[in-house]
Amino acid sequence: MSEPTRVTSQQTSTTRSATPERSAPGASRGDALRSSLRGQDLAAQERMLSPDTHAVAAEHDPGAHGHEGHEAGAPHVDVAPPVVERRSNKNGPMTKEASVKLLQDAFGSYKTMSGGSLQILEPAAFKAAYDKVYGKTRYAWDTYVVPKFGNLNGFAHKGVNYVNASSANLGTVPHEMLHNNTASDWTPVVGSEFNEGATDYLKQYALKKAGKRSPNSYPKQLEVVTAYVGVASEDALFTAYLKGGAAKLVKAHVDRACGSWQAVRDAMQAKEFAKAKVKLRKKA
Amino acid sequence: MPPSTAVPEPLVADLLPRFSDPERARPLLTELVADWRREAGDDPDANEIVAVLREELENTVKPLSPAERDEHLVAEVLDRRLRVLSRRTWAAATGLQAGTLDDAAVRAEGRAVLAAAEALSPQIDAVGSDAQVGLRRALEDVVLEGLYLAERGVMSHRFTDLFGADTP
Repeated sequence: MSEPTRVTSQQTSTTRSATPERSAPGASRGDALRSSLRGQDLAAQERMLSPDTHAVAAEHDPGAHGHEGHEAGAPHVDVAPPVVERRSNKNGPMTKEASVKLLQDAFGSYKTMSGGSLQILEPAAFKAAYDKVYGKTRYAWDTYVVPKFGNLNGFAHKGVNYVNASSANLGTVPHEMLHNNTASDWTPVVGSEFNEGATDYLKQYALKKAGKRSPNSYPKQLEVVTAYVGVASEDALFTAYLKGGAAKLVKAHVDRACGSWQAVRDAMQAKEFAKAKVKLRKKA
Repeated sequence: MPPSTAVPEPLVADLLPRFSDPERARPLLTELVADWRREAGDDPDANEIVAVLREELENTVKPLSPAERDEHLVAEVLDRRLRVLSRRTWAAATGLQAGTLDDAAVRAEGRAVLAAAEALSPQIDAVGSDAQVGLRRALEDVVLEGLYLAERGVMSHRFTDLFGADTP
């Protein structure tokens, strides 16, 4: 089996246009878009198997934790224009050691940051890790991932986050590492989508503090978290994310100032980010 | 409200002049606005939600060239289609965890989502600039979740949060 090569955005399009489901040679990109979008609609795709369920929010009071400079209404993270991670290795991934230091410098006053279970793998090793799970199935790397999707940036398996070094950028490892440092009650209270936005917020905060920049990973989720910081504070976000007490620090504040945290959470989980932002607006 | 509704959507007519080719933009805008209406639903803030979505679209396309505007519209529609798939994987996963869906139904749903993701992949490849990268990331999450539902192997980060790290 051949090894995947480092793939940039341009290379991906070129390489993958040779696969059977790609557009015909000579067709313009506009032709391809119009052709591929024809005859589809969202309503036909929306077939929910069951109503969403929600994890039980754990009540936890971490106690007061004051941090100057994290007041409400002054987000320290740039969210506009929303940009996303590039498939470029120009600003390749930080090492685990450098990432731990970056996060410790930014959030060491909240907790001691750890690296957690994270493997940054070169393409051959990344492919091998994937094929260790799926290599003998119809979903093997060479016969499924490459022809259908070209590449994967990362995946999780048995508690380990695997990062494809060929497509990771400067912020990828800090982002994944932050996931390993969340308080145990954080995601059950806020939900996975708010968690992604918050993780991006903390990543950008740490990078900015170190004078570095990296694109946003989850720009739409980040916009909602920034809206939350606008009505609460960075300190409340950082404390709940890293130390615990999300039910008091995040949920209670929104319930008091904006209406219902559950409405925000439900909208986020449904990926209805505009609705979530509306629900986060302060009551008049 | 499905895109094929007989009642003309006034918002589509309002937004259409922002795009260079009305014939190409109309069905995309119709699909997009229909999903805005679905998102707003019967929420007490429905009008505000749609207004926010409209404002965001208008602000985004305002500085763009005609070709970039058309491409942004395509990307917005693809993003909405990926959100549909993401909601399906989440519903299947939470149903599996809660025991309200049986194993075979969840595996079938995983395979169906993967098939839909495979169909979206070349459409996303055809989108240019930064939008493509964001769409591919969202597609990848759907693929990882579809694979987990179908085969119980690798998974996305949110599935790790849902099922726990010890899940095989």
